[in-house]
Amino acid sequence: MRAAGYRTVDCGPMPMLDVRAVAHGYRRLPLRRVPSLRGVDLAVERGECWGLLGPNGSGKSTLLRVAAGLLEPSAGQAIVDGHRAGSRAARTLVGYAPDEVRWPRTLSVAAALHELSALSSLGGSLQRVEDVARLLGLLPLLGRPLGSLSHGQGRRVVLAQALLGDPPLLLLDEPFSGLDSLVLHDVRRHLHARLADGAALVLASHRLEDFAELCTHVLVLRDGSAVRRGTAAEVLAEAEGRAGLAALLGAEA
Amino acid sequence: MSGALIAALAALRRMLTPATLLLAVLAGALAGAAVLGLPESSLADEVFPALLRVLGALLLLPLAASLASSERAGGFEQLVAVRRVGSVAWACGRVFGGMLGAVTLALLMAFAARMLGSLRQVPLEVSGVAEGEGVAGTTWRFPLPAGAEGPFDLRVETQPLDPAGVRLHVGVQRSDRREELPPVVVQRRSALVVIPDLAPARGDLAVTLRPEDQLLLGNEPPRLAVGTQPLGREGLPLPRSAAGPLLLATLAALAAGCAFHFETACLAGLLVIAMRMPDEAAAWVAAVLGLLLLAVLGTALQRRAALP
Repeated sequence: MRAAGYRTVDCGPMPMLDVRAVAHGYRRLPLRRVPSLRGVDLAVERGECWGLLGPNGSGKSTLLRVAAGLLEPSAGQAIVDGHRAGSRAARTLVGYAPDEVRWPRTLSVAAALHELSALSSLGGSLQRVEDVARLLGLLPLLGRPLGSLSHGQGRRVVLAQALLGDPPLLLLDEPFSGLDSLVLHDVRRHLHARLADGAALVLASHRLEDFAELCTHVLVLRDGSAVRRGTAAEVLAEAEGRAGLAALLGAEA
Repeated sequence: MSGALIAALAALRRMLTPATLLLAVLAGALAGAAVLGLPESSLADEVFPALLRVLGALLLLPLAASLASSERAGGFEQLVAVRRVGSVAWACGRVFGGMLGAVTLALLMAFAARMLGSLRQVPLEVSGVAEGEGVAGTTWRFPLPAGAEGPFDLRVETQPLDPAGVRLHVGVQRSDRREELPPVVVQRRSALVVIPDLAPARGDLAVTLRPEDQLLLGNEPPRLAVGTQPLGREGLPLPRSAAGPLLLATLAALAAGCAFHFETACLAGLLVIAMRMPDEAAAWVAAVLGLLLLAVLGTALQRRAALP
């Protein structure tokens, strides 16, 4: 499903994110790797939003971390706008929100955002931090130490740091968990606007309504393999009802 | 602003929190209190640097080790890892900022320790001025400060030739009042004689020492304790000998924290502080450069999750 107000942009020859046959395994023992991704392909064009759907442990977060350059794939490669993921050029293009961060407790929200903003752009502006803080309802919390925030407030800070600097590729892992309805509404509207401006978005979520609201495409992962891909409308139609969802995720109906 | 400077300021902010500043003051106060409680003030020269080294290590090494490793364990490090800052700038920045914070904490600790420890009362001594030597013994004159009241402790360097003990006869004169003290049996290389005030007589005090044949007196003039005074900050100089190993160990913990877990980084710091420090400047430079290289490599490998 495409968002209302979506406009066609000049995509150019190269996808914003190009993941080719990426494999990865986590080391559990010195001689044993537990595979988490098995040859996954994903091409995300500008203006597209891909949702990653799959049960726990299917490789959604790992795929986002590979795309962010935080994990070195054991096979295949991830390319961000023509640059190898993790390279300096690629890092300037990516906004990444992991599913969980334990913040340094004594750091204030403002200090954390300023620090990360400055490291993003090497000249992060105060205005940019305030804009993002306003969007996520963080203005009243800017002076608070991060250790005093609730889970939902902490999630907002995680999302805020990913949006700093308006990166053209957003990789969001469970971005909407813990957000209250009003903030959720504002964030979705902001992401729609970013997509309309030509940004690309990949989000991992367990909530189908997130996909329905934002995503143009959905990739279904199971045991580290891509088992289904298509437009959001197609995949969500298949996932209707418990039986449909279970069949898609490979679970017992 | 460069990435290294931002990383340095961030590391400095992590090191210098209200809690760490308070800990540094408390550690310094503990060292100062230990100096106050020493049985002999002369022990401060050895005990004070050792105390600062141990307490400094207890304070700084875990802080330095946790600077990078805790951010990695909490996931914060990956938020920096996806940003534009390069690994060299990031590693050098946080090591430099961490070291700056560590030096600040160490200085604060030493300042607090010296503030408290300098209050320790030490004897105020005057040295005797030889007045005359003869068969009747050697007479020493001690100029007493105004208001000094006895009895006074007189310390004399001695060398008894008979281990069973040799007697030292002592005569005291103040103004026109004279008193012969009971002889003191000397068995060690110094003797302590309690000299009465001889009140109401005032003025300088003359002490005549008459050792028996088997007792030799030292070359140093005897010293009379005429009161007490605070040790003072100059009595507790900054222990520069302890600073080098402590800072190198902190650097080791910081650098190892960029690559390894907290426990490993702490161990690296402890190993360095337990080692014999090199004398050559070249060895120090090599050690610092090696640790910086470890920090840079560790940061680069960790940002790609290439280390276990």
